[in-house]
Amino acid sequence: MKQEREASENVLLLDGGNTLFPGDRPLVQQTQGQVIVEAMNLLGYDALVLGDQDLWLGLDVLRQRMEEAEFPILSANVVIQGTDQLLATPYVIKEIGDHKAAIIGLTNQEAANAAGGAVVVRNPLEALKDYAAQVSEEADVIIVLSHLGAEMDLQLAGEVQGIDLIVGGYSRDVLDPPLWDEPSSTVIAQVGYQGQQIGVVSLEIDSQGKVAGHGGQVVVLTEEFADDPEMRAFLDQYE
Amino acid sequence: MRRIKLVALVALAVVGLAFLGCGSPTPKRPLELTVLHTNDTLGFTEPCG
Repeated sequence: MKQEREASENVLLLDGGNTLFPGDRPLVQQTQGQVIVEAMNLLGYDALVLGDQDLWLGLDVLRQRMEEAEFPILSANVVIQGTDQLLATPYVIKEIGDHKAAIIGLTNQEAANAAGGAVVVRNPLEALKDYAAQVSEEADVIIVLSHLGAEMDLQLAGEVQGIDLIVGGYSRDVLDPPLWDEPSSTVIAQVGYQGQQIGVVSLEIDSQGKVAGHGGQVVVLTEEFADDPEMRAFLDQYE
Repeated sequence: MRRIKLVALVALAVVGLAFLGCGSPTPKRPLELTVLHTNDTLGFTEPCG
């Protein structure tokens, strides 16, 4: 991440969800995901989308993590049961150079079960149509942060105009290089799971906010990448 | 005289609007954007089991 930030002027760091829940990680379990949020704050994440497993934390704990995050935790389609209120922020607008990029979050249907019925998951395609129309009045670049799987991401690109990039999760596909959907002019990216890789997408955005060029790769995080001293020091304090 | 004042007022209004940028919008410069991304890390601060 530091290497890319040194090499590029405009960098966004995004996460496609299923990141906060402890699973079988003792430290994450013990802190109920707090160590993850603190690490992501340290790494300078720009946004994360809720995946179904993130809701296994329970809404009270999840809301605490959302308070602690120094980045927006997004979902445009998870609604509190019995209300018309979204659980999370639906989108965020980032100023990048002369442009404004909207990042819209979409969560998979399994989140409804994960939260024990406390939430309802709205159809992501319908939610995206609504929010894409809303943000396009302000932003000229539209990024979808999706925890729906690559197949669904492709469908979204085909059915909603104006999406420039979909950063995905859930299906754990390693898209190397990222897919280019020619009919919709949308880049679709996803990068495995368990932090084994990090994805790098390069976009050339023209004066109209459209993708004029694209590229990317998946970087496998092998042992040749030394531990970052700052991150090492952060984790050591928990031992 | 009244007509001259009216013409002057309209001229001032047009000049004022031009200053306020009500003409063509300033073109945006193209940009290169790098997006780094992760997903499904399932608690990445510890090694997987």
